[in-house]
Amino acid sequence: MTVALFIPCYVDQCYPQVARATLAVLEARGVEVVFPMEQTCCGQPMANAGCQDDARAASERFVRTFSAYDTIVAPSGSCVAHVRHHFDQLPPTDAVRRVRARTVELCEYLLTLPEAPVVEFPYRVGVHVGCHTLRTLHQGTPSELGASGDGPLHTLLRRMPGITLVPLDRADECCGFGGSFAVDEPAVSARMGSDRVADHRRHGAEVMVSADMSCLMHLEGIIRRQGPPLPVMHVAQLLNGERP
Amino acid sequence: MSSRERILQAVRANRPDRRALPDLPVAGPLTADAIPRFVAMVESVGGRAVHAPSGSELAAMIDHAYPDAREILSTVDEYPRSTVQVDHDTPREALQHIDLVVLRGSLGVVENGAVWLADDALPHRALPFVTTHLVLLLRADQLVADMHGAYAVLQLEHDTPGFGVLVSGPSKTADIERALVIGAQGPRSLLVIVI
Amino acid sequence: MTIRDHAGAAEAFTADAERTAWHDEALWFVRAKRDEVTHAIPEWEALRTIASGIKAHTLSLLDDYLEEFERNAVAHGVTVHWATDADEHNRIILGILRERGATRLVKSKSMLTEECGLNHYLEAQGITVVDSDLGERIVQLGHEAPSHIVMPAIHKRKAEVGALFAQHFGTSPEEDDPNRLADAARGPLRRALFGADAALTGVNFAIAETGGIVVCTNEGNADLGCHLAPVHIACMGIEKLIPRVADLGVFLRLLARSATGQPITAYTSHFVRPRTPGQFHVVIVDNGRSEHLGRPDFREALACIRCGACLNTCPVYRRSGGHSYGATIPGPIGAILSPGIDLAKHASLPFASTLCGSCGDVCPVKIDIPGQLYRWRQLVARGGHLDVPKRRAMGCLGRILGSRRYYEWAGAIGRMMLRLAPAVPWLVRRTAWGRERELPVAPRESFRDWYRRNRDT
Repeated sequence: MTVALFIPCYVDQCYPQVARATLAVLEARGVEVVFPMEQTCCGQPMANAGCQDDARAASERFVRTFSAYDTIVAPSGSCVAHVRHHFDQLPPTDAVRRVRARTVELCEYLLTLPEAPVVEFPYRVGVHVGCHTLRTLHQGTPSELGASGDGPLHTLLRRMPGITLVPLDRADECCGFGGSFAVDEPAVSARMGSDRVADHRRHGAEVMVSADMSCLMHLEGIIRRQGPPLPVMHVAQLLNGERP
Repeated sequence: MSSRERILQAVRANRPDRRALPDLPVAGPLTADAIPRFVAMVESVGGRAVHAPSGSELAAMIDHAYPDAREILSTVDEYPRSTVQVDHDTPREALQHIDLVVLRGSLGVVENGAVWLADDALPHRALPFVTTHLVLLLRADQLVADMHGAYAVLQLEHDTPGFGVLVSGPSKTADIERALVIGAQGPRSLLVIVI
Repeated sequence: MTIRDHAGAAEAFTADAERTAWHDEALWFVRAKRDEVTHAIPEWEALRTIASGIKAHTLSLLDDYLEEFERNAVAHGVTVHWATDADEHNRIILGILRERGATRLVKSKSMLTEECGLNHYLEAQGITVVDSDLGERIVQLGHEAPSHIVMPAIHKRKAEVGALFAQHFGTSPEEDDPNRLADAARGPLRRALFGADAALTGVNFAIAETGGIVVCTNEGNADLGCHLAPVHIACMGIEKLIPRVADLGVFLRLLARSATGQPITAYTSHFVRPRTPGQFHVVIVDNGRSEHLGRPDFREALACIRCGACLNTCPVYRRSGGHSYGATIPGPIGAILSPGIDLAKHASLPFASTLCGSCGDVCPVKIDIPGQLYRWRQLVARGGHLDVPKRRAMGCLGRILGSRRYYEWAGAIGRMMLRLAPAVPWLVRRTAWGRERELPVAPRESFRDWYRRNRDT
């Protein structure tokens, strides 16, 4: 079976190592992966800023690029959530319905595959769960809805020998990125990010890991500004055998 | 056109398509430990509660709990110690310094420690609120498990009192730095006696 | 209060880092309490669904229920008034007071009278208004608006309350013990409650089948007011209706647990008939609600029971403070209600969110708050209320991301700029991103460049 890889625009441009790790992890599990070159972006940056009309060209391009594939995998819960939940702004053609139904977040997809060779990760890991992954894609149970239930991200990490997932005071508090929110409300956004980083540091995390690189882009920016260093990694990098 | 008509007309024009009224949950069962759970709940909301089976001890217990009470109003036979008379027409000035009010509740809710008081139990509606200390008597067989049970028993839709109140704990506030303060404008203490 | 956009006001609030940390922790504590008590109720999610259904049903027959409520209230000796807007609401209340020669009014908490600006209106007419809820009294003495719908003075530190009380209640200026401060306010507040000519309360629920209303308080101030004064005036928005008394069983189980983590408020008062002797008036207010009912994408917000759970859980509200919303109802629920009242004035509010979605999860009546925030954003942009630079930037970004060629070209330039940026840190720090964050370290090669070089055949 062929899987189409969707690499969100900012990952493609700023974090190619995450995209390469995603590709490697999928191929290591015997998946045949193609990266359709016509892809750009799902349209979320504009749509979340209120400019759904401006997002339309990108979203339509996404549909055109991916409608022929049975499975579209992306290493970003937020972008997948946008495709699944906000493509209702597009006319509900068969193609739109198909891509909405077939776009899957990486961790969720990996759990459908046979277990891969084990990769050790002997570090204390602070897990950052993206809000859209948690509350829009319903991966796991948010703390406000019940005793914190782990999602696919936690499941994959727990399988790694040597890993320690550190408990946090606030298991799933938002990091404050929020797309355009990060630049619309920089003061509150940065404050939320600092608080999140502080929670991870307080519990002795040696590396922050997430399935959402956009949160990590924001958190890494705060960590590098404030110091001391604390590496951030995408889960695909861990699964690909990379170390902080 | 009157404002009434204008509002009703606007609502009529804008209301969504009719949606069905959901069925209500059924009342939860009263468990064997209902009394201790009710007592614990009253305490958790800042009140005090005791399960006191005998009537004669009851008066002594209230005396003992409020030795300094001077203006006392009791409507219960078990505690015939009223020092003031109050009815609907009592001027409010006369209610200002009441130390202790003892009333009979007609229903208690295990899930939240609330006790129901209605007009028929209240010589004056302000009594449970003006007094410094409030004591409520309740029969153990008047407990219900939850709020669904409470309204099923009260049947207010068939026979509504002019006023009724669920009292859960004493007056309290957390308006200053979220610190819990017992005894805001109303009673500083609540004692519920289950008999 | 001057109305500033949310980001600016929020920045001012967060400038006091210590206060922000305290505010965040204080409200998080309330949310944690809410989590604890709601998770102890196995049927919690079912209750939310039923509550949401009852509200949806009521809104779908709201005119019928309003008439039923009025009929039953009148039969029980209540005087019912109707006000289309804030101004009419204020005039009706003044009329009731004037008719009795009342000059001293005590009020318990009512977000509706805040919305209508009643206090200022009455004070200008020579009426003395005392807010009798302690938190409301604190903000009234400080000439402020409530910053939270359940905890009106949560933005104030105890030392600030102490300073206010020193000025008004004669306490020591150093006094900052909440117990002693609350006790210092008890005397003056009780005197006001015992001396009032009329008492005004809000309404938590209005029951069509009895024509009665229910008011929930912890301090007992609402009851002290209306059982002691000769006149009780209760003000309610048209959306407060529920059909049956038994529906209260659902809503009262949800309300206090969602609001403060209490199993129920200290006093849940059911008012049906006037006391003898005494008058009982109910003022039913529209003030834009019927119009909101006509907005299919947003009408669900009228189901709100004002518990404040969405404020407590909101990571933005906890750090920006309630006043940053510049509206009567702050927080996520305010951010979806206020644009319906004045879209241009409140255009920044739907953006005061990361769309994290927690507000929707805690809402006891299951209002899709994040969904509405997203939809309001679209209307703000279409209505031309976005900043021009942002509007243009989004148009430009949309064109770039809509085309592979533009995207690849802009990506290359963008990465080059990101690589050059660290050489000019002062410039980076002047951007909204770079003020408090470093920019990403951009690679020379994008993933697609690498893929093209290594894989694309």
